[in-house]
Amino acid sequence: MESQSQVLERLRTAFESGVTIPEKFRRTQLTNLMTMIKDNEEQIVNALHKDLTKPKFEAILSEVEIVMNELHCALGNLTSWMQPEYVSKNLATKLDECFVRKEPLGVVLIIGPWNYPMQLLIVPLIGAIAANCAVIKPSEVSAATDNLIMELIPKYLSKDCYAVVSGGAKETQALLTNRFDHIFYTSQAVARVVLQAAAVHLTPVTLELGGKCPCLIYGRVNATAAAHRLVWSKFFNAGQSCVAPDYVLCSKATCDALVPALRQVLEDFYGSDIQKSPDMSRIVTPKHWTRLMGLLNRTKGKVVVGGEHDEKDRYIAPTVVVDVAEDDALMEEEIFGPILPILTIESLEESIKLAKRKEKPLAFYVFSDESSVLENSSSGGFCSNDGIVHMTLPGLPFGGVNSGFGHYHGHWGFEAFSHRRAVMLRGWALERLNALRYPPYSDEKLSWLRWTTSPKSCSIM
Amino acid sequence: LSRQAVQRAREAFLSGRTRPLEFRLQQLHALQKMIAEKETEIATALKQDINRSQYDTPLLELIGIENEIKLAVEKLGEWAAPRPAEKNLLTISDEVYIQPEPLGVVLIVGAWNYPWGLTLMPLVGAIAAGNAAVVKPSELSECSSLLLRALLPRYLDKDLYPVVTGSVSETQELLRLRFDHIVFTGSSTVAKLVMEAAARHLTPVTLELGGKSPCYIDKNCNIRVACRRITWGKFINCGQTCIAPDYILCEPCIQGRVVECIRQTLLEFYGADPKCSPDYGRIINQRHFNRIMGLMEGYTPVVGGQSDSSQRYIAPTVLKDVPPHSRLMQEEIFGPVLPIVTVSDMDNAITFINEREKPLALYIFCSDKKAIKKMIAETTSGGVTVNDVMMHYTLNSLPFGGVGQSGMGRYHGKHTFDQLSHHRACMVRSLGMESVNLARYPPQNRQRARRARMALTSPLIDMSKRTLVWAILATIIGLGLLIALLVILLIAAGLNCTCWYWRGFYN
Repeated sequence: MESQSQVLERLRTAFESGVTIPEKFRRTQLTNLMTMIKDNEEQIVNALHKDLTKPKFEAILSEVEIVMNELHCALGNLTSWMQPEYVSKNLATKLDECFVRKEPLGVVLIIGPWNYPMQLLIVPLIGAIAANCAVIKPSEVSAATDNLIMELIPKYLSKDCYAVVSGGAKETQALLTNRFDHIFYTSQAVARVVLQAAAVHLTPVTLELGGKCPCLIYGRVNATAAAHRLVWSKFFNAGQSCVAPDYVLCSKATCDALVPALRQVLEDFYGSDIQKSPDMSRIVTPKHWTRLMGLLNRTKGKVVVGGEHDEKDRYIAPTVVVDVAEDDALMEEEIFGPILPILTIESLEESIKLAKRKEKPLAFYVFSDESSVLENSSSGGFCSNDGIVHMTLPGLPFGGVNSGFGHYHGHWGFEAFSHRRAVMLRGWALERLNALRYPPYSDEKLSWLRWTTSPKSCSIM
Repeated sequence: LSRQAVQRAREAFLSGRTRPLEFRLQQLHALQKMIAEKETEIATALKQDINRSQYDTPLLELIGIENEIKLAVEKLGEWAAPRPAEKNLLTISDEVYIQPEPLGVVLIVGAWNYPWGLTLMPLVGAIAAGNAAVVKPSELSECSSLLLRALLPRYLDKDLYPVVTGSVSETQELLRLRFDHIVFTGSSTVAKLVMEAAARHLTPVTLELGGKSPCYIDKNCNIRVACRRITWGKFINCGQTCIAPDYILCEPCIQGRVVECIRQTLLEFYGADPKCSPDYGRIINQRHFNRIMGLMEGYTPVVGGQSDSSQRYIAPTVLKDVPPHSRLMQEEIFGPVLPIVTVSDMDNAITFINEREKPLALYIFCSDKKAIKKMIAETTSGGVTVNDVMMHYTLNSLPFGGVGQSGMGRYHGKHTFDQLSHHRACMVRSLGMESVNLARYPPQNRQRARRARMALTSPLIDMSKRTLVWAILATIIGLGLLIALLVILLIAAGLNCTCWYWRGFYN
């Protein structure tokens, strides 16, 4: 068994040999990754089912399809992403070649979480294959997927350039003492630890964290349509999504219309005995199950839908709680489970104020015909009249503000793992023009210089 | 005191007054006014701090800031506008765009070598992006720092852009507070402490550090011009520039010529005694003076070497045949001492550079395009200027920043605006078109799954080779048909014409 330092040594040697730079190599790796997912779709679905009792539909949609989309995007655009970008010049540099070169960073570390163990590990990897070598650290909590990734990656990707390291907290801490050229971390628990370890080596970091994503429902809203989308985005993966609507803010009238709609939609989706439905996930570990039940037990709100649970099955029914106050137990931390608190706030302005009192969330949801919410709020991303889908488009950057920093998806992923190197190729001629800047200095030289370097001077040409 | 200033800045930011573009433009215009009106005072402060020559001030600091402000004022509307993004089938009728938004309260920690440029250029971007900013100038450039503290509140909003002065303990106290972004210019040692402090609040950072920027001179280039440009860049601000060419790499056969050319250029620039030239600077303080003198210990310079501790003056100095393991080659010199290290050829130079930490800038003097391309491709650095030094810094369309130990993040021009903004992904859907959505809801079956897969697929256009071939063929056939049609019409028209012609003829 290779030690961590041996793995890193091997990767660094491979990177320094320059093997990851040619476009052909990157394309081959991305194509192999695509083959890996296509050939092993069934195993992936099974592993996810073992870890999270993830229904096949959810697994395909959120772990296979989304990865395939990103791969198509990368393969289709890699050539243009790799091209240098030429920039506009001023008079002093008119005859020079000025461009930005995209270069790899080196050996990067990608740490994945347990809630979407394939997507949140492989999509950053796609960006990293922008000519870097990568160490991938899947979450040990989603053990079956962890093992599957450990088995598959070396079979399809270059063994010298990409390595999978498994293990728990101790192994991760040991891994973090090494020097990487970029660290990509998705999760919540140890973000500060990761960042502090990165500070020691001045390593840049991308942090994809979470938060309490508010969902505001105001104005004239079709309760059934809203309920469909709300239920889908909330209870997908049993609420264990970083962009799931965490809590709902609406007026009493809306709440009264919404709750029966939610109840009906839940029955339409999962049937009358939800525990038996093959389309509902489970909580990932007994520890998280206990945490969620703790929140449910401590809440001062009223459970109007659901509430059933089964410890052996790690099952919690989709639950809706009303009459929740701002200081309730359910409002303390990110719920990350199938419990939906509804806070009744009469006015939209008050709701926005409440949401703003909390940390900036990863996503902000509004079901309304009101347009003011976007300008008066801040969040990683924003979606109106639906949930989660904004992060399925590779054209939109996915990332947080306070709930992390940095972005990825599509070309943003490529950029996250690249260094943009400014290059200016000057000629030998025009030395007379250059002489304006040499000592001995004079007022006249200065005024000429001001003119030639001004951004507007090109308009004269 | 700094806690209160930061608190006030946050409250001012939360009041929302930085949101309207008019406000930001007004602040930028005010900043421009400050620089225009107070140029003399700024030059005086710089002379006291670092013996900056009267011309160097506008040249090195003020022109850059002016250009940044002009660009920001002209382009702000464009930069702050929502940026549309590509959609897929599922989102075809939605509004999908990226909205740049302010981060909040940004901390800008400046450096002492260009106290105005390196503090105000990030500030321009921070204002343009709609942030509040706490400015912490370096205490080592004391006069500039105090002047900035006096001037900024007179021109800019007092609550949104406070200046906090002080030394190490004040900076440490400031770093304990929470910011939404920290822009730090300085050494990598302090940068690690800044990043560690930022880690506690999960604050993103932009670090503009330094390093040893190598300067390679190919034996087959115009050595005279090369040395003139290098001399300018090296000895400006008395070598105290993060992107100054730190050391020279060249083959032994041209080393003598390089030394001679530099000597000649120094005579042209500063005269026989640079100490008397008004255009030559001084070392910032005694500690750095001693540090640089210490680096030279044990080596005999071929040019310069004179010093005067009372004035903190070090003559422009060149050393040749410097061994790679010497102290001079271990740390960033940041002074008017230029070592020349000999290498056997360009490949050797590339190896030498790659063995060391990634530098902030790389300079290549060479006339062979292929060789230049090779050197750029086989090395890495924050930025590159070929056949000159430092110029990539002056073009604000190029992003300026380091990589590895020379820093992270980038700024200048639009890049500052982007760096200090949050790019918020926005999707505005409608509650209609629910039938399309039905495919994704449970209970699930194969049909629905297939439909959902199709709706989510992007890109919208199939980029595969087969489709491309089909598209090209279809276009060719279409064009062919069009041409055929045109020809037929022309013939018909022609026939018609000739018919009439003959008819006319016979009539």
